[in-house]
Amino acid sequence: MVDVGRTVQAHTLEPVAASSNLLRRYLSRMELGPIVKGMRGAKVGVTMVSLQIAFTLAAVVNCYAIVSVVLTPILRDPGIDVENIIHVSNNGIGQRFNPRNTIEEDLRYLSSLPGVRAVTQIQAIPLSGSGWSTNLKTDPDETDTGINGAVYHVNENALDTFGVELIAGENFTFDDIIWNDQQSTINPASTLLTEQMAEALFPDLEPSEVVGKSVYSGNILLRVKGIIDMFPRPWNNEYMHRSYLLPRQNAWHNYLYVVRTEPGLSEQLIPVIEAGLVDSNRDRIIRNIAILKETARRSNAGNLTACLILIIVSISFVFVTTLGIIGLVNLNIKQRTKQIGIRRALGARKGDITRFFLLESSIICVIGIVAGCGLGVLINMVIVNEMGMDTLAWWVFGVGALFMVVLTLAASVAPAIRASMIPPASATRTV
Amino acid sequence: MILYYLRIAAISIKENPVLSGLMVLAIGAGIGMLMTMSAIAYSMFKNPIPEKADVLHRVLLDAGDPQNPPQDPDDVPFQVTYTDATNLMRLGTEFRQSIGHGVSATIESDDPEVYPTLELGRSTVSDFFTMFNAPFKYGGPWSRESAVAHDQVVVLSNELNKRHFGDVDSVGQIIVLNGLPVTVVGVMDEWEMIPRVYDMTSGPISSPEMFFVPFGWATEVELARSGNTNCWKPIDGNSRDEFLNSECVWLQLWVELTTTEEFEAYEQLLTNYTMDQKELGRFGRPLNNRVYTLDEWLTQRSRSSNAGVYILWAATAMFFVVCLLNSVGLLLAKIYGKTLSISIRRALGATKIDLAFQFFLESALVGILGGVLGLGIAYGGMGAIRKVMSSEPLIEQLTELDFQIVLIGIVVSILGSILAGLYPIWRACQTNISTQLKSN
Repeated sequence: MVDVGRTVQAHTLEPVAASSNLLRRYLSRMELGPIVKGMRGAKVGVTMVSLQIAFTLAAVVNCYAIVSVVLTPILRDPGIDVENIIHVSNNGIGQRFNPRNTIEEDLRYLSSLPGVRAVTQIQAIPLSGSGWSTNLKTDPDETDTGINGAVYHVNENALDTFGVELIAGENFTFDDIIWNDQQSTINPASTLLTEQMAEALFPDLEPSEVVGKSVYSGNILLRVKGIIDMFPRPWNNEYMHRSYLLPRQNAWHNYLYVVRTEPGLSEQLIPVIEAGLVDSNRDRIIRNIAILKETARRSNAGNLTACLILIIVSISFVFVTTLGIIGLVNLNIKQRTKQIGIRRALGARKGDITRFFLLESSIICVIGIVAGCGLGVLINMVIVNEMGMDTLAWWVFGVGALFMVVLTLAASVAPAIRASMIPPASATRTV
Repeated sequence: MILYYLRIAAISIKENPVLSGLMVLAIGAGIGMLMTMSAIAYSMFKNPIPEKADVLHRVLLDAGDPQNPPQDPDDVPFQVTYTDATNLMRLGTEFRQSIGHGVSATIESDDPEVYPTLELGRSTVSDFFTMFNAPFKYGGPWSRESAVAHDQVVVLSNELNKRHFGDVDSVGQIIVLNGLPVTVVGVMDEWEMIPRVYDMTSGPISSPEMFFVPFGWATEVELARSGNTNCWKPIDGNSRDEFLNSECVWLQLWVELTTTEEFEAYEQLLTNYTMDQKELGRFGRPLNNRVYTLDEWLTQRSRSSNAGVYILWAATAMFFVVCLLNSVGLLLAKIYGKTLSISIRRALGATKIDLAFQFFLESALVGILGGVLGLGIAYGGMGAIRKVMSSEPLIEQLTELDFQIVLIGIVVSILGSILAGLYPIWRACQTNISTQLKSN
């Protein structure tokens, strides 16, 4: 009370000195001095926990970085009707096999099946993990690499087969489709770009303005006939929908069909399709027939497993470090039982004791966070180098640090409150 | 004496079930996860033919796009063109070289009831089998003369031979491949090379091939390629010859070099060849050919194509370190509770060394228990991974807990536990006996 009076007096005469006095008094009431001195006597215990906090922050922040990059494309909507799309891989055998006749017959047969909505032949399957890609340019003489796009050779039924929408321009017509065989390639004259592809190639234009423009695949000129909303690449990574379609059908010995069924009928139709194709032509093999949803799941299995492992490791880090914090605080309290008793006997309130230990934990946590941010940035640099990702944004470290503070305080609360329960009488006990 | 200390150690562990349990759990979880990732990484990146580690070399030529060089000079195209592979085979006849790539073909049966199948195989040269220690059950590779003459011959895998001919010596029999009759000249024994070092284009783990055919003949009849093809220069046509003469890279080139002189001579051959090709207008980039030993190649490929596995392993290693740090704290707490018993024992004549030895034994025991728990966790982890990735080829073999890894894991667990105990045990020995005894 005397303090307050004196402070008020000082405040009217020397504002600056008084406010620093106030700060010093507030800090000393926070007992930072005794806390730091106390920690110097228990350097090892403090270092151990600070290191654990540092490692945990660095690890969790980087695990988040990797998982968010890898998991995002997997969890995103593929944009096509994967549940109802069946893909069939075929191979013709020997010289008797006539590719073009077989393919045209098969497509007619497949589209006539009840429950089938649309069919196309294609040369690579989206989301399957294997396919083709080419770099497209807007200027054939440009020396930079261009924009990499997954390329698909389809017919005029492709949009309906995959369930994608035209957002500008027109679809291919029957007359646009060019047939190629093993001996020759005639290049089609037009292409359908996805919106993502159009944006990458013509960043300043709206999709409707890109219609009619020319793009180049090597030296081959392609006129953009239309823009579709989405079409996933075979590989599930960052630029998931940078693809383009060519109105081209290939009469080769290996060929793929994509069949879209009415909702819910895909599983029932698989044996029907398989039997029908096999019976109609003995000069070919059905190598594989599957629902696209399952194929996509398989091609993602590796990445998903890796993410799962990282998440489990992160949770384990947090769990172990929490135990470490609880352990250290408990140990501190046990070692200082007498000290606490003395302080209480001298007039410290329960709240002061609790605050003392929470403050101590916070300081350890802050040391750990600082080290953790440094370590985390170092580790992130290595990961960015190896995996070609973007560097972590600063806010992630901030959130991570906040999380560690909350964790530390939550872990320390119960022991700190138990410490405050230590009776003043323990000061006089010799046990 | 040791038995006595072990008994004390066991009693001490039982007296502090919570703290000891937490220590075992911490070390066990840490070593368990580390063992899991170590076993997987080891399977994927180990050298399956260590006897050939210094002898087999992978050859890379930088005939890439001169207008778009990569940022990293180590980023050389990992396969070679048809032109370069065949030229080098021709120019380097004094060296044992092998070119190859994956193919697929239809295999028909004589039995009309049996559906034909599509199988994955390899188009390569006869030296491939000796270079990579491929085991034969019946017959052997085709001869060089056979290859030159483009004879229609094939080496079957054990599985394809069993499926087609039963488990018998089918050498001399005919099998129909892509509609063409080929003669069996050899049948291989079981050959699961993990990782499949000679061709890792679809990752280090691939199912073994079902058949092997001579490169010259396979190219002539245009067997479908299976693998990775990369063309920086657009090709104008679609014909086979236009593709073969292009700058597309799709072949793996290996050479066996045993002495330093051979190595230098081969490097000179490559340099001379590159210079000649430069005069013809190819090889626009600066000279950057690579001749990697098998070990160097495995390190290179694993880093570039499977960095993810390394990162996962590093994460589990860091976690193990955190678990050890935790152990230190737990042991400190445990020892704090024992200061009275330590003081009494010291007063009764035990030396610091006696105490230290006993405590280290206790740490070792915790380490063993942790190691065993870790083993259980690793089995569980491998089982879970196997279930999620059940569609991957050879996942069973990949998720086997290699015995070496388990042994190393338990040793690391014991050593780690002892290391974590250094400071707490030193502190225990420094206990002030008199104050401890007086305070009671």
